[in-house]
Amino acid sequence: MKTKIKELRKKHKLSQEELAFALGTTRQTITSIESEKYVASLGLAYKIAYYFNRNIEEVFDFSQIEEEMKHGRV
Amino acid sequence: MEEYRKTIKKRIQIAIVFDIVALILVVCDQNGVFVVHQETGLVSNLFNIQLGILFGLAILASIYIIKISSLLRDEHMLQLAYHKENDERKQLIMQKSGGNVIVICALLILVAGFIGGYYDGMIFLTTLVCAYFLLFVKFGLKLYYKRKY
Repeated sequence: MKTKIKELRKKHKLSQEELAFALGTTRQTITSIESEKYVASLGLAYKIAYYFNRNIEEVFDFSQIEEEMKHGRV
Repeated sequence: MEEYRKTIKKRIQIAIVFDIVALILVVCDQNGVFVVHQETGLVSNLFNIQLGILFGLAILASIYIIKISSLLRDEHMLQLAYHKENDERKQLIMQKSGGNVIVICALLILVAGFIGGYYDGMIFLTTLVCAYFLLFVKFGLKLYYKRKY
């Protein structure tokens, strides 16, 4: 899943390690989410959005899921 | 975090008890407390292998004690360790690679092999290989899922 975490992180001048520590997770998890290898759980997604003071939809790209729902594939 | 600190302390205590038991067994063995007689000497050899494995585990436990006791002195490191242990991605990888079930199975097989070995040395060797194979599979799966996620 595409995200804007990297963008927001750079905007706030945060390293992956600092963000991970603030969210109570590990640097590897942040790396995996940023590289679209791993999809964050609802809890972590909420924490990320809350940390950057955004809505989940602003941080995570749900367009693929919306597309699938439109075509009745979900 | 206080709960986690208590958990760490409990783990240290368990590892210390394990180390003491292993040390007592090894010292007793060195002083000839355990006298095992058999014509072939297989049982005696088997017991020595078991003590060797136990001693190896005791060394690992000692390293573990040193590693986690340093966490108690540093709040930042303690928090990092807590995050690492409760990380959702790590938990997913752990689940996908069989969780603790494979390790527990391997240990149970090893214990069964230790006992069975007194009846036939081949049982011990077979179960030892089986336990190692299980751990090898677990390691392989863990590597695969670490790359995947």
